[in-house]
This record gives sequence, C-alpha cells and structure tokens, in this order.
Amino acid sequence: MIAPERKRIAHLLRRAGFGAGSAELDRYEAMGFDAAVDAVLNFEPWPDAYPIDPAIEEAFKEDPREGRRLAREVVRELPGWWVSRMLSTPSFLEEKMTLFWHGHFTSQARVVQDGRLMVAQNRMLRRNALGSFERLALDASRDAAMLIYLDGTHSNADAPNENYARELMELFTIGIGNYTEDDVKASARALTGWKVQRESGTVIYRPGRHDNGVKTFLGQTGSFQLEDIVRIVVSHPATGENLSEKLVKFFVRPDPPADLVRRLATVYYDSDYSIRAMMQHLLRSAEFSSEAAYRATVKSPIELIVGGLRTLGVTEADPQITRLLVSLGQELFSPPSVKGWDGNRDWIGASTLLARFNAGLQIQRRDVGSAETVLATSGGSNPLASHLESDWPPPVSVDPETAVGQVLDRVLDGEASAGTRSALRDYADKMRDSSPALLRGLLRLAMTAPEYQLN
Amino acid sequence: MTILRRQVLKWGAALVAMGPTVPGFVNRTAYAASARNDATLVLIQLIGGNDGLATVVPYSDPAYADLRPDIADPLDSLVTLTDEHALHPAMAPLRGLWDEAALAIVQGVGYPNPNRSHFRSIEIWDTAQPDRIDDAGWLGRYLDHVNPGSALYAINVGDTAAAVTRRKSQPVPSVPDLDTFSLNIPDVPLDAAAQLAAIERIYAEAGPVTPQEEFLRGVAATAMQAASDLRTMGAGFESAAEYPAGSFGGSLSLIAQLIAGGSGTRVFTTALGGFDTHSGQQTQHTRLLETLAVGIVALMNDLRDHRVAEDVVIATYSEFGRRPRQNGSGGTDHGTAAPLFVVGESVRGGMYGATPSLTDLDAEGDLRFTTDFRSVYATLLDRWLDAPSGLVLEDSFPALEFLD
Repeated sequence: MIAPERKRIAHLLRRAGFGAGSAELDRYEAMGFDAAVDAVLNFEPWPDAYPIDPAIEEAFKEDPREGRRLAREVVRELPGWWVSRMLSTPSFLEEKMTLFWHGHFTSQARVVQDGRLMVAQNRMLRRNALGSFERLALDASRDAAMLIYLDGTHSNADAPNENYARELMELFTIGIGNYTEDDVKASARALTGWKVQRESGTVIYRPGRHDNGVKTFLGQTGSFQLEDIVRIVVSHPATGENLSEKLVKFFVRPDPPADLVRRLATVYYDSDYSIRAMMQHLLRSAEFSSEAAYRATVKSPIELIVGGLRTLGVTEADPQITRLLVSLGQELFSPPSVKGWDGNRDWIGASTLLARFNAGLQIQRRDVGSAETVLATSGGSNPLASHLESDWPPPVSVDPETAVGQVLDRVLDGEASAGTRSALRDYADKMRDSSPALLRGLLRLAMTAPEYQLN
Repeated sequence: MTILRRQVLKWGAALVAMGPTVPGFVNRTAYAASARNDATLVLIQLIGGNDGLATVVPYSDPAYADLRPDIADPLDSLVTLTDEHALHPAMAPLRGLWDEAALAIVQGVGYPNPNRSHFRSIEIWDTAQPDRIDDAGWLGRYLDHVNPGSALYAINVGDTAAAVTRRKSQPVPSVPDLDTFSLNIPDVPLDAAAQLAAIERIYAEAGPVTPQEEFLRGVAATAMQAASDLRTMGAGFESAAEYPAGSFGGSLSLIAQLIAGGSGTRVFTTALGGFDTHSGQQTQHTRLLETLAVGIVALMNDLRDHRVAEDVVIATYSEFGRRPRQNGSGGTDHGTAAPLFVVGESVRGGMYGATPSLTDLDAEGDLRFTTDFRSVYATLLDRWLDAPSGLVLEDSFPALEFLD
C-alpha cells in the first residue's frame, strides 16, 4: 500500500482529478483516505456557463455560409475553456470522468465542424459522467455531434450507413470478436431515422427514414429500434468486462489486474450499469492504492500541464495553453481517431518528450528580478508561468538542500530516484548565487525527470 | 557524390526519359551501379481506409458503374493508364511518373479473412501478422535485424510514434519538423550549461528503475541524440519543388531535406489522414488524392533536383479498401483489398497483380484479394532494403517484379 497517507492522497487526487496544490492536499489529507474518496465521489456539479451565442442560429437563417463559419469558429475557443474548468473546479472527478468519456464516446471537431455541437456533446458527457452507462450510451447514440461524426445523420432505411453501428460495438461496448458483419448490417438498419438539423443543431427522429423491418441482432430477433440496440449491447456479457478494463487502465494501471476487472464487471451488472458504483469500487480497491499502481502509467498532456499548474496553485488557463497541449500530443475535442487516445506509452515519442522537457523550461524564460515575481507574473506567451500565484512559497532560503527539498516535495511527492535527486542537488550548488533562476531551474528539472512523466 | 555516380545518374535520367520502351535489362544494368547501401524507403500510410476502386478505376468493367451509380467519376474525367485501368482525375499529376515507368501499381492487395475494423486491420498491416497480436511492426523487426547505430536510421515524420517501425529495443524518433525538435535551454550561459548537465544526468543515471522509467530513458536518449544530430542537418537546404499546402506537404519536404542533407536515414514513415469516406466521399477523396499525387510528384522532383532520386522508393498503404457498392450517404463503408502505389526511379513501373473481380465478391459483398500484402513487403525487403524477408516476416512470400 502507498504510504505515507499524504502520498496516497496525492495519488488519489492525481488519478481522480488533476493533482492538487498544498492547501487542497492538506484538506483531503485531514479527512483520511476513505473519507477523501467519498468526498471525491460525492461532488457538487460545477456550474457550466459556456455561452453559445444565439446569433449563430440566426445567422444560419440569413446566410447559411456565415452560420457555418460562426459555428466552426466556436471550436477554437473550446480547449481553453475546458482547461480552465479543469484548473478551477473543486469537483475534479466530474471533469476527469468527462475527459475519460471524451476519449470513449468520442467525436472529432474537425469532422463535426460545429463548436455548438461539441459543447453540447461535452455537456452530455459531463451530465452522464457518473450516471448510468445505458443512459450515457443512449444519449451518445442520439447526440448531434456523434450523428454527424459517425454518419448516423446520413443513414436511412434505403441505404443504412454502417459507421456508427460498427464502432458502437467494436469500441464503445462489446468489443471486436463478439459480433459478425451481419450484426453490423442489422444494427445499422435499426439505428436509422435520427437526423441532425444543422441550423439549430437539434436532433430529430424521422420515422420515414427508419427501417422498421425485422432484424436479427446478436442472436435476438425483432423490429429493433436504436433503444433496443443500445439495451442489447449494454447488457451484453462482454460490455461490463470491456468497460471495466478500460476504467482500470485509465485510473489504476495500464496492465489491469484481472481480478479487479472481474469485480468491477460484477458491479456493473449488479448496479444496473452505474458508473458511480464502479468508480467507488475502483477508488476504494486495494489495487488502486497498491505500490504497483503508483506512477504506473504515463501522464497525459492534460495531466502533465493541468496537474503541474494545479500543483503550483494556478487556477486560470493562459490562451497559449491549447497550443502547448497540441505540441504535447493532446488536442481536446480533436482526438486522433474514433478510438480516442491510446494513452500510457503512446503519449511518448521523441518529439512529444522533447516538448515535455521544453514545457518545463517555459517557467523560467522570463528575465526578471526574483523567483517571487517570476512565479506571479501573468499574461504574455508563457503558459506555465503566466498565472502562478501565491501558493508557491517565496524563496525564503536559497540554501541548495532546502530548495531541492521544497521542489521535490511539491512536484514529486518528495520521492525521486537517487539520480534525479543528485542531479538537482548539483544544479542547485552551481546556481546557488543566482536565486531567481535557481527555483525556476529546479522546477523545470523536476518536471523533466522521468518520475514526473508518470502518474 | 563520385564522378562515376553522377555519370550514371545522367545516363539513368536519359533512360528514364525514354520510358517503358527501355528494355528491362538495360534498366537493371544502369541501376545496378547505384550504391544499394543508400537504398531508402519512404512509406506513406493513408489513414482511414482508402477507396481503391475510385483511386485506380477498373473503368472498362460495366459492373463498376452499377456499383457506384452516384459517386463514380465520369469516364471522360479519368486518367487512362491501360485498357482496363484509369487513375482518379485528381491523380493526373502521377501520369508523368507512369509514362516514365517510375510508377508501379499493385492490384488487389489484402490478406485472408479480412478484418473490417480500422484498428485491427491497420495493426495487421503494420505488424504483418494477420493471425496473432504482435507488438513490433514489420519495419521494426527489420530495424532490429539491422540494429543500426544511428538514431536517425529510421524516422517517423509526424507527432507520434509509428506502429510500423515499433521495435523491441530502441525507439524510432518521431520528428514533426526541425524547428520544434530540439531541447531548449535558457539564454543564460551558466544556467544553460547547468541544466543541460542535469538533464543528461537525470536520464543517464544507471541504477534500479521501473520499466516505465526505463522506457522513458530509452526515448529520451534517442530524442536527445536525434535532436543533436539534426541540429545542422537542415542548414542551407533549398527547394524548388511545389509541395501541397498543409502538414503532409511539409512532411514530404522534410523527408527530401533530410535525404539531401545526408541524414543517413533509410526508412521514413509518414501519413495522410481522412480516407474514412463513409459519406460525401467525392469532395473529400478528391482533395486527399490530389494532395497525395501532388505530394509524391513534388517529392520526386525535389529528390531529382538534389540528385538522390535513384536512392529512394516511395510506397503507400492503407488498412483496407472500401466496399464496392456505395452506401446511401454518397460514400462507401469498410471493405477489403485495394491497390497500392510504389514510386521511384529504381521502380519498374506498370501494373502488378490481378485486378479483383467486381462480380465474384465475398459474402459481405467485398473484393477478394489477389496479392498478399506480405509479398509487397517481401519485395521491398529482399530487393530494396537488402534484408532477408523470411526472417523479418517470419515466413516466405513470393517477391513481385516491381523491383529488380
């Protein structure tokens, strides 16, 4: 088991959220681990105030080209908006689960081409983030962005489109190997009839486009509708296991312990597909708190950057942060494929690792007088440094030993390999006479270390 | 470059200009003089499943128009290659390479029991293992076989690691561009030196580490070595070639720059995405094929301008072709076999492999493959990269004749 308690709490807050500054960490530590898990699970939904300009729908009526252009433009604002939520929300599990579902029932903004629909999908995922998986799968199947992304809106009784039908089974529920090409064709027919109204972005059901005929799907026969297909795949014996495995890989470790996956699958069916019940079991499990889970997986760019900023007490996103995330390999609202992000080692390539190293440097690019002012400077082209606030202790001491200790405590739970520790110590000795650069340099180095790349 | 080689090049260019009428043995003799240890492969993945039938159109088969009543390009817009085959109109730029016999088209490439999942099927293509899950890509196994010393021997031009070059041991660097591919250090000399030393020390440190840290150390070593090797590589490169706008054109241009700059890279991989054309296929597919064709021609021109064209073979692949019968959304669903392109001055241009029948389809209404994709790989390995294909592919596959 991860010990001491503070380290275990930090692990919980990194996995269930995006890491925490020292005040937040203190607060959860005071509760004790079990109560902290309950507090994490029983969050208040954080108010969602993304304003969709009604002028866009009006513009569609006047000039559809202009309407489409405005709708497309919204996309650019979204990653920054979402990162701000992740930085500021006290209900971080809500946001982390929304991110998980964004990589599961995913859609790419560059295909959907309408930021309003991406916002709506994001809200739908957040609303269902810890609810019933059946409700989530239903809402996702009738979601406007999804209907565009996987061609449901183009599908009709005369010529059903197989795109969504295939991915619903392959990626979202029962998994490859559990269905035939005939099942793809049958469910594609059952899923017809749902259409996106492009001006308003609303979804309508057109009975005339639906194939009312009898279908045989996964061994069952009936004149199935979308709701029937979702019910059948959600209740399928493979879905609980697949979903459990994905949750364990994301929240616990990339090599999922088989026993935990089995237990979670049981919870899935016993709880009527309750995601909250699954997450409760997962976060309370011995596997989650085991040493083998500690730093077991590679941080996503979001976890790296949002986590780094939260750790340092930063609560607001610099507009540049979207570009930084893209260079690290994670563009929110535009995952690389319908499979979302593969995670773990797929985050690490030569260029993305260099980008991680360079992200740490951005902290210390500014040529100013003291670490205090550097860390508090705002604005400009420096995503990491721009909103650093008073949470970071001022440099009361430039004693190298103390400075290294402070940085390692804050950034790496005080736990670093002998090599990392001595490299930081050497650096501090060399830089002991230039205190403003020292803390920034130590931060950069700690964030460059392999330990920091791991979650 | 030696004088001898320059002469061969000139002669080679003259022969190429004569096109397909050059007897095969003359071609072979001319190219035999080129140093095979410079043989470089550029592998382009077409992400999403390229519609082979609209790319190389079997226009003389009346079944084609029946299968594609709404989305077939008009006959008179096609770029006719043979009595049976024509290129998509947007691929007209490739016509010159076809006439010079520098473009080979391999028909009906696929594998038994086709998988219609994007992810499983590309995994099969990348690993060359249709029957089991394998971590290493087929070019990764080739790299493990060669075990090169240089960090630049294989490069994926893009943001993320490529599965096809995934190795058991050392990772292959992914380089999106030269500007950002560097380790930044502060402007203050004292700090810069101290940070560089610290980072090197952090990542070089021996001792007990977890497998994840070990993995990170491996990538960091490759990244820092490659960044250091590449620092001077791009300098002074000038190009008159007109690449397509966008990141794919940028990737091809970087490949030309590195080859011309003598990076010693023998395997480049890159990708063009967006081929999953379930709906509104024609607009999107036209744009993509134009980007591909213009890009290939620009790369060839650039390589010729820098006198390295005969060292390079370009090949394309995609996870599957698309269903012969169009769907109701003006698109096509996931299919099976498809043609692929192999381009280069050292390539024997022409049509290879049998064209799949449009009437004798499989149970799902898809094409039956005629050429095993591993035969294409075996040809590239045995006849271009000079590596034993049996060892790399763990089985033997007959080579095709698009390379000598």
